[in-house]
Amino acid sequence: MDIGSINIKVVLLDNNGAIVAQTTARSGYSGREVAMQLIVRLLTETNLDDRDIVSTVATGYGRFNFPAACQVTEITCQALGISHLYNEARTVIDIGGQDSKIIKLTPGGKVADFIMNDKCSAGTGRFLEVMSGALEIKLEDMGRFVDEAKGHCTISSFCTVFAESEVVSHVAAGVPKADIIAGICESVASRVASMVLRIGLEAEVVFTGGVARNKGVVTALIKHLDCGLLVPELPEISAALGAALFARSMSSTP
Amino acid sequence: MGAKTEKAVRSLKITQEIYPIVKNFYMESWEAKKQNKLVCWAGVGDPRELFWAMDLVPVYPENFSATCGAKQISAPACAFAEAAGYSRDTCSYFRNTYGYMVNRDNLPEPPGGGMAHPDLLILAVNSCHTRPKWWRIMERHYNVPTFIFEAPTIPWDMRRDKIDSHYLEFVVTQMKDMVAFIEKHTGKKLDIKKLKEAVFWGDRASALIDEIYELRKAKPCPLGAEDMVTALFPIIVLRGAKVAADFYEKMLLEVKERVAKGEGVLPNEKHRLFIDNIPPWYTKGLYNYFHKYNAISVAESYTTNFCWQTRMDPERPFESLAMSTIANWLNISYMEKGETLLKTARDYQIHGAIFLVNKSCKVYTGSNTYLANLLRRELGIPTLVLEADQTDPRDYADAQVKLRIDAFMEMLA
Repeated sequence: MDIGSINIKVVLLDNNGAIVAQTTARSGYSGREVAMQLIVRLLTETNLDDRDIVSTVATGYGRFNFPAACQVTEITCQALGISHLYNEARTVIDIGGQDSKIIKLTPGGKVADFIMNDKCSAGTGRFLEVMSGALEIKLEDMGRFVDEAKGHCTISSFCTVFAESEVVSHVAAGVPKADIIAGICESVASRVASMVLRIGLEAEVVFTGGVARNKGVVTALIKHLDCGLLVPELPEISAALGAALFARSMSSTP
Repeated sequence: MGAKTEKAVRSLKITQEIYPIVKNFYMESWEAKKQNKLVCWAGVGDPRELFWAMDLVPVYPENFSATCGAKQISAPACAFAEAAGYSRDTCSYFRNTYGYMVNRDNLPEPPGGGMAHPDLLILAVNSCHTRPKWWRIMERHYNVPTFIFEAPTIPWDMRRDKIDSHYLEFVVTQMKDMVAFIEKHTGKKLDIKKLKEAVFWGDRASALIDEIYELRKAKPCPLGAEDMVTALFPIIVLRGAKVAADFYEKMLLEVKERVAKGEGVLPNEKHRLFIDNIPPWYTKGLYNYFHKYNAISVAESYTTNFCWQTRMDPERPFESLAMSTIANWLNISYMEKGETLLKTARDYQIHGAIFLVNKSCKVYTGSNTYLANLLRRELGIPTLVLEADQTDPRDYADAQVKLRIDAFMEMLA
């Protein structure tokens, strides 16, 4: 499972590494409680019970709060999860709730190098949530707006809070909503692209994490990196998948 | 950003003797007046042997701030400096000292009573240009005689063990002006014999600490960063006094014994690390955090490479001190830093290197990218960048730092 800052993701795998069930919920106050509830939900859905779970691995910021067999960072889990889904993956862009990370993979799917955002949440899921709130749109509609945009207005602030003020002033100045949203996605993409270039871009490039569902950011990122991006069908669970794969490999080791 | 911070867990017996030395050092500064001695506030890279020789009682604001950081009392002092109008981006050593200079009565009591008020301010400008500005601020506040001189940065084609003679002469000339300045205010002439003696003891302490650094090459490493950074206190502020040489003599014995017995800090040492930049004094326990991965910092640029210690010739005291004043880690080129690091990495058999982004010291931090790339390219050594200020715990996010360490160590495993 991936106990993140904004969302909890739980993935159940069978012996062959196939996903049997998965689910996501907001972390809220107690990530651990939510995680426990999600497990119960999955077991009910699949007609299984506690005894059927051979091993559990927790990842994400809240990993130490959960009584799992072991805790592994989401960097290692993403590497496992993504290389399982795409064995040609060499560069992984993971934008989550409060972290953005770029992970370089070896051909064997191990972490060769990684880089994470410095200091603050600009360019992460939290940033986009705040912006969508300021503009009163749904996150999942951002892609549509970006497609409609005639231009984009530049958001120059690094800080999420100051960027929100900038957005509000653009709205007041009558800048079209679509252009502002394009600017927001631009801002995220340019920060991430600079991290990718710093660590070195190598195909295939996979974009994962909750923010990968945001088509506006996908479009902006493709433009900035000038290369194709592979996006998993369920990007927010790839680290949880990796954790489950880790659990499976632990339990099958004699 | 309420910091979670941790104290270091030490492995060596000798490290426990440091805090009493620290307290004593500050307490004694308050005794100066009774002994008819003048207190001078000086820079940590200054020719400290001269201060002992001329009967001054030196205290070091930079070291005082590091001590406040280690005692977990620096945050309010820093905040006070910001309230007074200084940017949060200025060096936290400065902000902490400023807080205590101006607002001491409303701040936590510093160890040994902190620094006694200065009669003189002295500074050799090497490393950075924040310090001379800082010293001028203190000059205006205390209104005491101040002497500031320059020890130039050496260029990319010069090495600190082969400094051109005109560089040394430039510093020697100014040091002699400084002697005249001190003589004017103490009313006592420099006794060259005393200077030679201080240089003798400074050299002796330096030779001993050199030997200690050599012993850290052993496998398993007998002495990690968590002990070493604390054990630096004598070579920094007491170099030239016999007590520093005595301390390192004792420390060397203990380390030698550990090596002879094959006693490392870690029973199952697996990863030998190098850590760059000034220690985050308020959370030295961070060095211990690596231990759970059977990893230990065996060499640091702040200890192994800095050159707080200098081999000196008592018969040529001024030239020796000039060299010492020029030759610290922050006064050399990145070329030399790179060459030195590559050698350290080979000699100490380093598996991974950690570079800190220390907002307070851009001079130190500026070389991060160059050095990290160099280690990776030349020796295939993986590197990790962490953000940790030297003395302001508000510029440190424990959970974020530990996550990056966890991921890095999983990668090395």
